[in-house]
Amino acid sequence: MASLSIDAPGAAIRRDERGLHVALPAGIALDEPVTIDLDLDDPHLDTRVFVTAGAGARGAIVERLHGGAAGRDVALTVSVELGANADVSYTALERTAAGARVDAQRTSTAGTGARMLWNVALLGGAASTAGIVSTLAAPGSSTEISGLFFPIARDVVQLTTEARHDVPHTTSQTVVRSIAGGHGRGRYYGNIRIAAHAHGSDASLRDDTLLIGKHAKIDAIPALEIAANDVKAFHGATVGAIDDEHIFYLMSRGIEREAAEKLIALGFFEPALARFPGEALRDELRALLEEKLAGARR
Amino acid sequence: MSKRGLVISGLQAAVDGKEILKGIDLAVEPGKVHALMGPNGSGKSTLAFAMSGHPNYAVSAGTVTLDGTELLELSADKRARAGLFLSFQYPAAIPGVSVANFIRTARMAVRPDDLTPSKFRAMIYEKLDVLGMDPAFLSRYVNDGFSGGEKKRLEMLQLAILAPKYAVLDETDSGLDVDALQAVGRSIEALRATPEGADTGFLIITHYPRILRHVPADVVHIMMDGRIVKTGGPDLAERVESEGYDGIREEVIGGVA
Repeated sequence: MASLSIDAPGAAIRRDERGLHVALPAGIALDEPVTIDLDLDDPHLDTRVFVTAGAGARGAIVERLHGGAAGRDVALTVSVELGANADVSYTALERTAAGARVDAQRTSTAGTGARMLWNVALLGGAASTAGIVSTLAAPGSSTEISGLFFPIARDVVQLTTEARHDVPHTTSQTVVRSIAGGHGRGRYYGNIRIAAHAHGSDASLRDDTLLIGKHAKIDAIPALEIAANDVKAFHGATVGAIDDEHIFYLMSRGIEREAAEKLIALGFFEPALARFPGEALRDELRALLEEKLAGARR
Repeated sequence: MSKRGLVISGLQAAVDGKEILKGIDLAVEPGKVHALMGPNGSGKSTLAFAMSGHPNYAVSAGTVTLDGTELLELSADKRARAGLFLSFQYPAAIPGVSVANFIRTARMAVRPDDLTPSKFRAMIYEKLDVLGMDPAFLSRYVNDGFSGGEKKRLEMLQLAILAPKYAVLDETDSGLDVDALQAVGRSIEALRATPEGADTGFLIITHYPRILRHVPADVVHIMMDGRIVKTGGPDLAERVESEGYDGIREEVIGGVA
């Protein structure tokens, strides 16, 4: 059986032929995150995860996706349904083994006044494709999507995010940071869709990319599909190498070039990383990114 | 004769192929304050960057030694570790890197393992207090969204923490209000009152004598068109204020003719 650590009294967890079900009852406030451990080497791996949050429920879910011998090829789906005024964060930390191929599609639907926070870190695997579609289905709902990825060696990573404003008075904020090193390849599709009648929607999308080395490449492809009038939509993006003036500034303080590059590169992820829940998890991510950076230089 | 001092000899340097420094000779002794004044475009900032090892500044002749160590052969980080500090006129913003992390990393690079974390913390709080800076500053990203005054204060905080052998302050006073200028002056004088900073030699690059009222100069140099054209005592700075650079320019040209 897939291992499942449930340190979250109050969350109802069960498994059936459809997959793994996590239910946060109405009105509950979880103190600790529910951890979903998905090991690609487990023959009984749950590849479908269903999360439901009742009205007013608050809680955090942390999915850890790891393992996977060379050639392992897995498709995973996650869906999250939020009742009125529910407040849920779902964090996916992918650090699968070097040879694994993963396609993970994660979706959410937010009810009236509900807030959905998506955090995804793609830090493993030969090929990783991840999609997040966060649908704002009722007035007053909001979503924040934070993503980071870091292909190195010959990794290929593709992330798609979509904030769907189906109704009026909904808010979305998407922040994605990525670095590619070595011969790493990345592609980011950042989508905002505002439906024809979804007036008063407020959407922002920010994606920034840093390339380390001549052979690394990341394409960022934004798509803003806005059918309503009277909306606010923002998109900003940058792609570039580390700024020489930044390096010089740090070096002028006695910091060696390599250490200066490390500070800048790890700092680059912070605007997205800072939105992940819990200092322990953020520190874990920083350590993983530092490992990646060391790998990017080899 | 002692080799101590920040000694610039016959320094010539170019930016984008254009010669800016046309032979600079200047020596800052330990514990002394030298002011370098001059009109815009005279090459003051170029001197600061050329000494610090900025890659865009090509030195074509001359030497710069720091207590006997030849700096021009060293990368910028090694110059800093030798004891040189440059306060930038326009310091870079580095999002994602906290002030605390940056300053701790810099201190450990320049003065490895000389402070326990608790002593370091006590030191940084003390310096913040002298500069009238809120400790919340430490968790902000380096210069990211900082006002002009905050950037200069952060430069002075770094100066105080790193306690270099020689500090070049490139127009640290420009754009500061009276309070910020006083804080800068207080911070420099506080550093000079510590055992670490008592021997720090300063080269203060400025347009105006006002910073020199807070940090009195021992020697004043006037730079024009890539050369030091006049050197004198503190009264020279006052003369610049009353006469502007025109009087000095006429005197120098007259002297040459």
